[in-house]
Formats: sequence, structure tokens, C-alpha cells
Amino acid sequence: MKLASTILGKSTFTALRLLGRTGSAFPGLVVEKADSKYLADMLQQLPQGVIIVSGTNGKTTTTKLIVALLRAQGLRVLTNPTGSNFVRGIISAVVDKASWVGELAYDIAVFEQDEAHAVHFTRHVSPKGVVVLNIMRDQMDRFGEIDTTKRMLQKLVDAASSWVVLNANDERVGSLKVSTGVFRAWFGHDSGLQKLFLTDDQLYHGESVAFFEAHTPDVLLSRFTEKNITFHSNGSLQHYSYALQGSHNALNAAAAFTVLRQVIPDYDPEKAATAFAAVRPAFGRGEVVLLPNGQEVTLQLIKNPGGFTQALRMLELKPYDTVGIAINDDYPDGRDVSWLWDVSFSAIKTPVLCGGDRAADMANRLKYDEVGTAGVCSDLVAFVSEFNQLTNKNGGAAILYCTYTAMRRIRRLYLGTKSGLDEENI
Amino acid sequence: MTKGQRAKGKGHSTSATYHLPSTTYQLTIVHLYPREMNIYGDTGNRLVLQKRAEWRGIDVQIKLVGVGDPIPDEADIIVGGGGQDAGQGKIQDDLQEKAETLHQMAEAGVVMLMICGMYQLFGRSFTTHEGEVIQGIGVLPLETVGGHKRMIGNTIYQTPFGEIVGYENHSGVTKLDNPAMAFGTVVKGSGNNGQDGTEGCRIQNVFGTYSHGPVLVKNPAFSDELLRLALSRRYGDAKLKSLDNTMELSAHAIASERPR
Repeated sequence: MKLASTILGKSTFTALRLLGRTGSAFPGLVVEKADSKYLADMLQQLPQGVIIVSGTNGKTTTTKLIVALLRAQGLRVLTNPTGSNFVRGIISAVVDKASWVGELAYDIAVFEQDEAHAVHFTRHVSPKGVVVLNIMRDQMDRFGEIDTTKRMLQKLVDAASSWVVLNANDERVGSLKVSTGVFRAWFGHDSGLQKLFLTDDQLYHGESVAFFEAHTPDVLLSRFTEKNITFHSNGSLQHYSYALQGSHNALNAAAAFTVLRQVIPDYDPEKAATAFAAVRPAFGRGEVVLLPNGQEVTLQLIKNPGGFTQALRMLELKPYDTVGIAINDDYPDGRDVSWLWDVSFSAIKTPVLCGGDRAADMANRLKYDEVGTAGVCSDLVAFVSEFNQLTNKNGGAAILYCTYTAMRRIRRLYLGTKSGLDEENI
Repeated sequence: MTKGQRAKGKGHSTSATYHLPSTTYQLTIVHLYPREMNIYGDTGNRLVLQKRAEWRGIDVQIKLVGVGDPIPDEADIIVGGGGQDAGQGKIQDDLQEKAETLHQMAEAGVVMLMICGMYQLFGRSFTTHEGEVIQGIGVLPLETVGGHKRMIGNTIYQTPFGEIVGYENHSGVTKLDNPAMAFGTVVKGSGNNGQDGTEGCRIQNVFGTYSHGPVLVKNPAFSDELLRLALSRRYGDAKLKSLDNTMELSAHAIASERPR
């Protein structure tokens, strides 16, 4: 069946390419329909098993970091680069990377999965390792309640066969139950950094909510600057340089190093440092594009109140002279824009250019935090053109916060065809 | 109603739009269960009331009232939001302890705005689809039964304060004792139950609605009516200085054209 299904999937890919279509989850769908055990059969071949990375925010960047760290140690790592969280997207990736006779020449797989898809995935395959980054409220019209989210992640953790890596500073993650015989490893941050990493309770109930630490972290984020990061692990301080932006990515890095320790306890630190320094931001996650005059525009995806709040902390780490926010309300963005009222914008000191289908909602939201508006432009082509003009006029660096579909469109406007296949990855 | 019980001096302007001697007026806005009942940005309702009062020079006190905290006597406006099942479980007993106070305040004309989960609990009861009956406080004459269909999407309601746009997300089916007590009628969306075209409920100055959005942010006429009712109760017939609503109305216009 493995052989026949692989040929079926690969033939579908070939047919799609002949039609000029690429990067589709369609071959995965075809194979999933034909052979429900395909994924389990194929992934069983991997000697080091499968790692699932889940949680509300940070999945893509953390997955990217884990893949880079493991590859630098010589492992052959399969991942879901086309970024589809759907199981059929992963099947597509497997079909694409398998040989025509159904062999997977990889040692280990690392997949990012949102909560709902992760549960679905575990019905096919039991992961060896599971990483839970955080449990924040997402847009409620998409995933329902935060307690439902926690229940889904509990199912994922229950499915782990060997180890789990958990965020020690997130109350909900810390209270996930782990089966006996499954090893728990923790990442976290120094209590002095609490203001930079608000949990859901701190976000909604004020920063007075006490610092939480479920367990002493195996990899502790001690401090970081824009370019350097220090972990405390194994009783010593470890210094690294890195090219990611934002405090959230510093904590994602702590998670990735915890996974590295778990998979390869005696890893080569120098190779890890080199690989880590070379990781660039994932698409639309602090990704920097350059204007013709060399000015930097940072593109930052925003999906939910916790992520947006965290991403606004970027304004404290580095000065941005121009700030834009593009809000769409298509299904992937969340149809309900109420969540913008769960984010505080008071830290923005410059008038904001608002774009997207719900630009007017955003401008209205800013009004009630007494933040000025530099313009309101629902059409994204006009918005980007106006944003670039404003950036030129203001000088210095610019940052553009965008919801999912706005980001897809805006990346294409900046990068043209270079945005290519991987835009599905946001 | 008599004027100026708490106003210091006369100072009434003769302007047609501005009868309030600004700084002497005070409003206390109580946010009920901000920790437990606060999803979908409903905290925005508190912010909108606060800012729209402050922009008119009214001195606003915000009081957060959680489980175990008394409701301050000086409450002029009480707001409550939607919650998750866990949040509703945590507040049920406490809400029963506050029931008598809330009934008295409702009788006395205190302005209340209850959204979604709190709207349901302001009714007499909520019966889950497993058949469990959760007691409400019965300030509003209605009952809710948990349904299997999620009523979700952008909404438009027609109300005495004009067209209201919002976003609903509930599976509770709410029936009013008398449809005439509805806050509005459904133009787009499901409203109370997806059947009789009613949305929300109003008794005295107590308003309940399924609308998130949050409901006040794009509906300035409704926000101002709540402020006017609260000020009139305390200070006599009040008129509010008009504010520039360009942004609110522009967001309203766009929201009303978005697909369900």
C-alpha cells in the first residue's frame, strides 16, 4: 500500500506541476482518501520518530529553529515547509520527500501543528516528542475557548511516547498532566523578564499576576539584546548571537535548545551556535524587507491578542519611526475583530497608518487608546504605497503588523515572485 | 428628577448641545467580573464609556468588582461581558449573593450593560444541553437553553438608538417572556434564538445583548445613550456635548457591509 500510495501521490504532484500548480496540499488529500494508514506507515520508518510543536504562538519560528539545530548536528530532518497545518499538508510533504518506492531517507521529523490539527495528527501517528510553547486565547471564533484549547493540547501531550518539552512559566502549560514514563523537560525565562512575557492570565488580569514557574527550567532565558542571547543551562551561562527579532523569539529559542538537548544530549555546542546565528526570521515573523533606498521594513504577523501584545514589545527593543497595522477579517484572520480590544496600543508613540478590510476598526481602536492615525486605507496596494512614502518621509526603520491574509498580500507586494511557494508558510 | 444633587454650583451652559458643567460631574463605572467574564474584547465597552465621558470633561471612576467584592453603592453604570464555561462556573455562587443588590439597583434605574454570558445569567436560568439548570438572577425576564447550533457571525440589529452592528457567537437559545421587551430586532444574524427575530432585552435601564464587537465601539449613539441615562439619573435631565464620531461611523459602515 505504501508503494502504491506514494506513486499515486507523486503522480498527482506531477500532474499538478504540468498544470503549472505547485505547493498544494491536494496530493496529500488524494493519498489520505486512498490510504488512511499511509502517514503512520511512512513515518514509522524514521529511526528517531516525530516531534510535534504546538501552542498558540511561536510554532513556525520554533519549528524552524529546531530543524536548523538538529540538521547542524548531522540529522536528516523532515519538516512541513509548505506550512500547512492540515494532516493532508504533512502527507503532501511526505509524498514529495519519499522515493518513488516509498522510502523516507530521514532520521527524524519535526512538524508544527495547531491545537486542533495536532489532535487529528495523533490519531494517525504517535509522536515521540511534543513541545507545548504556550496557551493563550486565540481568536475565539476559530478555536473556541482557551479551556478547550488546553484540553486539545492535553490530548497531544497524552500521545507523546517518550518526552515533552513545556513552558515552565505558563500556568496552563505547567498544569498539563504527563503520563508516567514520559520525560518532562522545561524551558523558561528569568523572573526579571516577566514583563516581556505575559501569559494569558497576566494579559487579561494585569501584570500584578505573580510570576509563575512550574519547574526549574532546563534551559532558562537569562537575558538578551537585539543581537545576543544568554541561556542558563547545565549550571552555566551560554552566550549566542542570533538574527531573530522580538522577545518572543528569544523564548522560542530557549524551547528549541531544550529540544536539542533532548534529542542529542551530547550535541556539539559550536555547531549549534553557528546554525542558530544563521536562522533568519520565518515568513512574516519579524522578516525584514528593504525599500529601494535601503530603509528596513519589518513584517510582523499578528493572529491573536497575546501575539499582538507580545509583538508590540518589539517597539521597546528597537526604535521604529513608522508603524503600520493591516487588519483583514477573512476566515484565516478571524472574522470577528473584537479581539483588537483585548490589546493595549498605548505604547505606540507615533501616528499609525491603518490598512486592510478593517482599517477603520483599527483606527477606531487606536482612537480609544489616544494613539494617532496617519491614515486609513482599506485597499492594500494603496496602503503599501502610502506606507512606503511615509517611511521615506520619516526616515529610519519601519514596522508593519499584519493579519494572515493581509500579510500574504503585502509580502507579495514587497517581494513579488520571490515570495513564491513559501508564502503558504505564514 | 431633581438637578445637581452632586453638582457643585450652577454653571449650566445655555448652549443647546452642552448643558453639563463639565468637571463637577462624576460617573462611577463598575466592571463586574473582569477576570472571569472578559472574552471577545468586551472590556472595550468599559473603555468606550470611560473615554466618551472623559472627553466631555466628566470625572470617571472605574471599579473592578470580582468574586467576593461588594458592588459599590455609587455605581452609575455596571458592565459585564461574555465568558467561558469555566468563568461562568466560578462566578455563579457569587452572582447569587449579589442578586438582591443588583435587583435593587436595577429598580433604582442604575444603567447596566450585560453581554452574552452575563446577559444569560441576568435571566432566570440557563439549561445546558446536558439538562443541567444554572440559576440566573432574574433581573431580565428570560430563559436560555443550550442549543447544538452555534450562532456566529457579523450582526445588524435595529434598535431605538438606531442600527447596531456587532458580532455574535453563542449557542444559547434565549426566549423572552414578552418579545416586546427585546432590545432590538434582527436585520442580519440570529439574535436571541434565531427564530423570533428578537435581539437582547431591555428592562428599566438594564440592557442585555448577544452582541460583541465590542457592542459599543461602533455604535456611538448607544454608548452616549447609556451615559445620558446614567447622568440623568444622578443629575437630572442631561444632554451630552457632541463628539466627533467620524471613525466610529466609518467602522460601523464597513462592518455593516462585511459578509456574515
